[in-house]
Amino acid sequence: MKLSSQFSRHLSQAFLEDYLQTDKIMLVLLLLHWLFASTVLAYSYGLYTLGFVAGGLIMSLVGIAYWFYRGTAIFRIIVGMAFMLFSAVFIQQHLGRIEMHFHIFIALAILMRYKDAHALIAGVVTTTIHHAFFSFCQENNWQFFNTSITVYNYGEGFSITLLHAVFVLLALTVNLYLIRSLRAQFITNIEYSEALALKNKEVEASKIALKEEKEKEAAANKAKSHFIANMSHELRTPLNAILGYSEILKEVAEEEDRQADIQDLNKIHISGSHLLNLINDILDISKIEAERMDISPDTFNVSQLLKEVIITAEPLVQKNHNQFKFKLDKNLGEMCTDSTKLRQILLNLLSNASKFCKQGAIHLEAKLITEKGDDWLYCQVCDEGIGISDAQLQKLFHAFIQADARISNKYGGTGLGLVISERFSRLMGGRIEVKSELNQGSCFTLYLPMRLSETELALLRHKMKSS
Amino acid sequence: MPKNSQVLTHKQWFGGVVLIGLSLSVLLVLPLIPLHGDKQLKLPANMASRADFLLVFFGYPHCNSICPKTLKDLSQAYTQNPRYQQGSLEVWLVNLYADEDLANTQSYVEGFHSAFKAAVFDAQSLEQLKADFGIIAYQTAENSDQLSHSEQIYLLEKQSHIWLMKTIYRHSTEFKQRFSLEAQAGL
Repeated sequence: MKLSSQFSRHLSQAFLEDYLQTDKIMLVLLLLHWLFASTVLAYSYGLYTLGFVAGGLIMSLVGIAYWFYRGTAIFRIIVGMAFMLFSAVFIQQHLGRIEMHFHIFIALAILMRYKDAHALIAGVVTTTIHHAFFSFCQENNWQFFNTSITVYNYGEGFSITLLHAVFVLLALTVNLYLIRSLRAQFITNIEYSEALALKNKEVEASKIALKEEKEKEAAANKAKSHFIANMSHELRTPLNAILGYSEILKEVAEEEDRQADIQDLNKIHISGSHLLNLINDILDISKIEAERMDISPDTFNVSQLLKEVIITAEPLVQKNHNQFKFKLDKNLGEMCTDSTKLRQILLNLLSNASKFCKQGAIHLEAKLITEKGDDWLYCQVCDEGIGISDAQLQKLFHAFIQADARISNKYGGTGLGLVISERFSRLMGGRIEVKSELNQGSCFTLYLPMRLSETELALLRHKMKSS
Repeated sequence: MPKNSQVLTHKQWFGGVVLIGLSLSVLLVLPLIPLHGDKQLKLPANMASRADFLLVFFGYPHCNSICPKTLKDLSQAYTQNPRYQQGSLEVWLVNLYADEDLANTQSYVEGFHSAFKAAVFDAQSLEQLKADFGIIAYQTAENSDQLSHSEQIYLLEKQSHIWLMKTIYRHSTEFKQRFSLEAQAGL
C-alpha cells in the first residue's frame, strides 16, 4: 500500500503519541514491579534487600532512559529488558521456583501494548542471555568478582535452558504475529480517523455555508414579507373604496331599477370581496412571517362564540348540499385567549370542510379536556370529502403550497387558510392535528389552552420569534 | 529533555547503546547481591536445638555429587571456629527421602563431622519443610536413586522460640566465599 506523504506524517505522529502514552504506562507498571519486588514478592524468603536494591538499579536505568529516550526505540528496548530483569529478580527472590518464570510470559504480553517488535525482542534476548549464559557459567563453574553464577537452583544443564528457550521463542512468534495484526488495525484506525476528520471538516464547512444561506434566505423572506404586508395594506385601501362605491352605485341602480347595471355592479362587488379576502389572507401570513402578528387575549363565552361561528358557517356548509352536525359540550364556560383568531381558525376549518365535501356531512365537536393538568379546548371539524393523501399531508401547513396544485384550480383559494390557522393556534399556545384518508374525509382537531397568562403569552411570542 | 521525534543523532544512539549495555549488566549484578532474608520459621520438634545458629542443608546419604561437596565445605567452615563446636552453631542435614532410617543418615553426616546432626521426616512433614525452605528435588531419571535438588544452605538464627532465615547461600561455593564474612559480622 503506497501511503501519501501527508498520511505517512500523520501515521508517524500517531505512532509517536501511542509510544509516548505506552511509555508512561510501562513506567508506572515497572514502578509497581519495584514496589512488589520490595514488598509482597520478597515476603516468601524475606529477601527485601534484593528486591529493593536490584529493582532500584533497574528503575534508575529506566528513569534515565525515560528522561532522554521516551518515544524512541531505545526506550522501548530498555523497557523490554527491564521487564525481563524484574523476571530474573522475582525468580531469584523465590530461589528459582519455576512458577516465577510465568512472569516472563506475562511481561511479553504486556510489551505487546507497544505494537512494536523492539521491546519484545529486547525482552526475549535479555531472558535468553540470562538463562543461556548463566547456565553456561553454572555448568563450567565460572565466577564474577569471586561469585559463582547460577541460574537454576536444582541441577544445571543445557537441556533445561533449551526447553525454556523453546517456550520463549514460541511466545515471541505468537506475539510478533499479534503485533503485526495490531499494527495493521492501528493503521486502519488512523486511516478512518483521518477520513472522518476530513468529512467532519467538510460537514462543518457545509454547515457554515448552509447557515449563511439560511440567514440570507430568512432576511430576504423577512424583507419580502414586509413588502407584501405594506403592499397588501396599500391594496386594501383602494379596494375598500371600490367595494364601498359599488355598493352605493348598486343601491342607486336598484332605486332606478336599472337591472343590467345591478348585475354588473354585483359582479364588481363579489369580485372585490373575493379579492379582499385574498389580500386579508396574504396580509395575515405576511404579518406572521414578518413577526408582526400579535395576540390580544380577551375573556369570552366559548359556547356563545361557537354558536356565532355555526351561524356564520351554515350558508357555506349548505352551499354544497352538506349536512351540518355539531356536538357542543354544555360546560365549556369562559376562555381567555384571542377570540378573533379562534373564530378565524374555526371558520377556516369549516370553510375548507365545506369546500372539499359535497353532499356529505360536516361535523363540529367541541369539549373540554385536561392535558398536563390544565384545561384545554378541543374542537374537531370532520368532513366526508375528498381527503388528503400521506404525501399531501407532509406539505399541508406550508405557506403558499396547497396539497395539490390542481386543487386551487378546481376549488379555488390561496392555500393560506390552513397555514394561517396552524400559525394562529401555535401563537395561542395550541396546535392543530390532522387525520385524513383519501376519498374518505378529513378530521382537523384544534387544541387550545383555556387560559393564556401574560407570562405564557410572552414566552409564546419569544418562541414564535426564535422559530 | 522530552523527545518530539523518533529521529536520534549519532550521539544519542551511542548513549542509548551504553544504556542498553548497562541494563544488560544488571544481570551480572544480580548474583552479587547476597540473599539476606528474615523469613520466620517454626522447625519441627526433632530439630530442636540449644544453639543460637543453625546451618541447614537438604540432601541424602547416597548422593554422589552436591551433598558430599557441600557437607565437606560445611565441615571445613565448622572446624575453623572453636566457638561453633562449643554449641553456638549446629549443622543439620535434612534427608530429602521421606521415612528414611535416622541412624543411617546420622552415621552418614557424622562421617563429615561428628557434631553434625541429621533429621528425617515422614512424607507430609518433609513436603511442608521443603515448601517452607523453597527446596526443589526430583529424580534425575526413572529408577534412578539420585535426585536433582536445590543446593542452598540456610543460616538460621534463633529468636525466642522461632528461627529467622538469616542468609541463603545459593550453593556451597557461595557459602565458602561469604560464610566467613558473616561470621566476622557477629555470628
